[in-house]
Amino acid sequence: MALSCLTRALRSLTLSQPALLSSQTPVVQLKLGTLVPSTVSQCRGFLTTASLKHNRAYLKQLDKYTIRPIGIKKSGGRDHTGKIRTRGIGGGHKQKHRWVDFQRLRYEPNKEGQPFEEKVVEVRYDPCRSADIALLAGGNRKRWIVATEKMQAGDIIKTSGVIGRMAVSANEGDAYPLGALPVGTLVNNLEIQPGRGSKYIRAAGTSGVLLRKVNGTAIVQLPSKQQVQVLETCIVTVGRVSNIDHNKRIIGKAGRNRWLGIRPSSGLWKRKGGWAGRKIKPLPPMKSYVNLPSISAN
Amino acid sequence: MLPEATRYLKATVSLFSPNVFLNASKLSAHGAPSSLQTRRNLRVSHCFAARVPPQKKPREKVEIPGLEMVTYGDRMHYVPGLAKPVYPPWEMSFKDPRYYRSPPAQEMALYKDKPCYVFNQRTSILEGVRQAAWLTKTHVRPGLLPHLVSLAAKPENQLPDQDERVQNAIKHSRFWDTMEPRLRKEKYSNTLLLNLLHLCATLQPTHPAVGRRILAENYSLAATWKRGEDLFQIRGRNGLLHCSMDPLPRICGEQEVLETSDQVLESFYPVSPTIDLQQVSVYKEEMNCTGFRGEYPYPHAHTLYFLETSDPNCQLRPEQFRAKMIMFTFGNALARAHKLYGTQPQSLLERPITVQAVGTNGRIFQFLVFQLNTTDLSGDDGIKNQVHSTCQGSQSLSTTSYTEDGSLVYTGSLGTAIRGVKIFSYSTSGASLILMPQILLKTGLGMGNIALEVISCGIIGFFTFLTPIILHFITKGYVIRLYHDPDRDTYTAITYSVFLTEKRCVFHQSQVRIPAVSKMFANFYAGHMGLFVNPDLFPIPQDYNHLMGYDKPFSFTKEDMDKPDKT
Repeated sequence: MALSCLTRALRSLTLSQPALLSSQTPVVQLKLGTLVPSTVSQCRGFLTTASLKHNRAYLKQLDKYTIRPIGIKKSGGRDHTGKIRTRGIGGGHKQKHRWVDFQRLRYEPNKEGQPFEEKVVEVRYDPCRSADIALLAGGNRKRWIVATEKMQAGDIIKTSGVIGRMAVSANEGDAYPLGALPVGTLVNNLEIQPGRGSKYIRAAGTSGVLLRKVNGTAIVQLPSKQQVQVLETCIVTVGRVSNIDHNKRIIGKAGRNRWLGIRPSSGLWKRKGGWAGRKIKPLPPMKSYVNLPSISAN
Repeated sequence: MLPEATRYLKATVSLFSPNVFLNASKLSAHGAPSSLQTRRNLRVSHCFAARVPPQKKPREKVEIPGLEMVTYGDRMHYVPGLAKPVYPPWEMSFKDPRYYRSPPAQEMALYKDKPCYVFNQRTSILEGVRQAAWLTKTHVRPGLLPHLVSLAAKPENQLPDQDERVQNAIKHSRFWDTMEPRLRKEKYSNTLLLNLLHLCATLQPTHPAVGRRILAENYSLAATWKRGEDLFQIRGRNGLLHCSMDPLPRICGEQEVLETSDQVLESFYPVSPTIDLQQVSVYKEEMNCTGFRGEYPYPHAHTLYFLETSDPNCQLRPEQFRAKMIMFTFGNALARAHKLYGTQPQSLLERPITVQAVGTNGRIFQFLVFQLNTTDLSGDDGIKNQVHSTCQGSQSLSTTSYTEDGSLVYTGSLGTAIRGVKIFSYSTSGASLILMPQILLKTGLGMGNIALEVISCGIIGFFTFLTPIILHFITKGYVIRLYHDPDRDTYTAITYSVFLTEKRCVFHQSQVRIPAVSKMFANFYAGHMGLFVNPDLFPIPQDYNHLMGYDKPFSFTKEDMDKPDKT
């Protein structure tokens, strides 16, 4: 018995190719995604019929842009350990993800540097966000973007990266750098670092206001009345985001919330929540995303 | 020795016990990249597992040229401290097609820097017919030429009891013999097409040209041409082809062909004409193939038949379907032209090549005729090819009659009765008016009292005039026929006027108003005129709903309740 144990153990130490595990050794098939620091250095691997990798991040692994809707797995508010990280998420209708291109100023491979126009093919509902999305076709490619308020199928939309001396009179839906727009325009899909893609003002009906332009930077007021200072080469889209009546909709019944994937909140009254009542606070200081050279250089 | 052995044993048993931890990151299973694999702890359940720190990146291997690594390859077993030997990838000594790995595109023999745009049978181009017309340098004309359409109307070209046989063909194709609630499209459309082709083929005794044609399926077409700076190809199998021994005669005269050089191709800026086409870098230049090799006895492509596929990945909308039809007919014509006249571009073919196409989805048939006039397709100007197609009004196998007022949706059953009654009433009134004085004179009922005479004449005459008037008042709103124009959403109602002529009243659907208090002899008001229709006599109930506006969305909001006129 000891000899058989020894031979079995020694066999496991060889660097042979992993073989299918026999039924002799009972293996507990655990929930995928469980990670634990290792204590033993070498072990022979085994293959199972289920994939070892919990492929939740399929969306993040794709490298080629496509307009085809991609199926997504629902997380239920759970993180990679399997515990609930965010409460109140779960269930709901199945959704397919449409990969929205947030970097509006994306040139085609051979046509760098020139402003280009694209045609809106259709504007449709997106289950993954509150705003509507628009399919743009220009040159040889098609892409999804967040639609603005009055965008309709058949419109021609301009995107430009050029900052002229005079401010451009921009039409709704066009994308320009902040330095090229007149002060006071309503903007959305704001980039805070040029070329990184828009991260702010993307929700339905929102819009920011270009407050002022200060040598090389521009100051924009976000929908939360917070002000940010960004470089003037950051691209923004002009106008309000589509689906402006989104905040006026009435859910109507608990079931509709469940269809949206929102689970009921706990009914327990908690004394120290601090959520109720009007809050009057001073505005936070302006956030600057511009790396100004420091004055004191030692 | 024994305690050492037990210690070793314990270590190894703990290693290989069922609760062993696996470090799968070193070993890759099934060719998956090992860096993406998880580490699984089979010892404990997930509740007790702590958050994992991010995986450390493996040490980078530095290659110093000239420095030879000492590996443990010679010793045939792992030695700590020596490098892992790197062997060249094993190649099979013979060629086995089951295990062939194609090299990357750049290393292939036919690789070219300039890409070629390929249109295959699954391509769905964004701009539809406009893009197909630009790519093939074609002028599109809606509607088939009258001399072609009149061919079908000639009695010698028709079958004996044609309608009945066509209806039998439809019934056969739609025969419900499956377990599913609906027939599948590829089944009924295919059956219908083949049945109709068979019917046409029964005309062979009177039309010997039918016997000089044969059907071919699943032939691979290839045609190449240059347009501007880009190279285009059509590749693929479009489906069914009628090929014949004789070419089709030209449909457009030489004058019209020369006139096409004045027409301008539609542009669709900012979309590029190459959008949605497959871009390939590995291709054969000058790839032209009609689908048949050598001396095929039926070399001329006569008619192509397109069916809609049930492939979920390539669902073509009607516009894209028509574009596919145009592209493949062009491809067939071009391949034939290249075979006859060579691959050098020719600005005007002395014998233009004509190909026809029929596309169907089982219910609606679309026809097009393509004439290839030129193979010089690089510029946008010059002579263009021509396409005549039933684009806008595709013919459907339906029985609704179509006039310029729209399609007939309602026929009042009492129309003839009303006409008869009115004629009777007018005639009796007229007769009594004429005969009354004569009778009075003849019979001598004229009394001395003129007043009595006048009164009696008046009483009789009153009813003589009153009856037609009342009759007209009652029946003036009765709709004899109702036509509906779906494009403009207008209705044309035909009623009888005072003098028994047909009066047409054209109104838009939005002008229809249903009175709050129901009136006699009028269902609804169209503008100011009251009209009467019998809802049961609508062959399609949806038409009645649409006429009255019952299919508009109904809202219970307060504003709409206060305005009852808005139905």
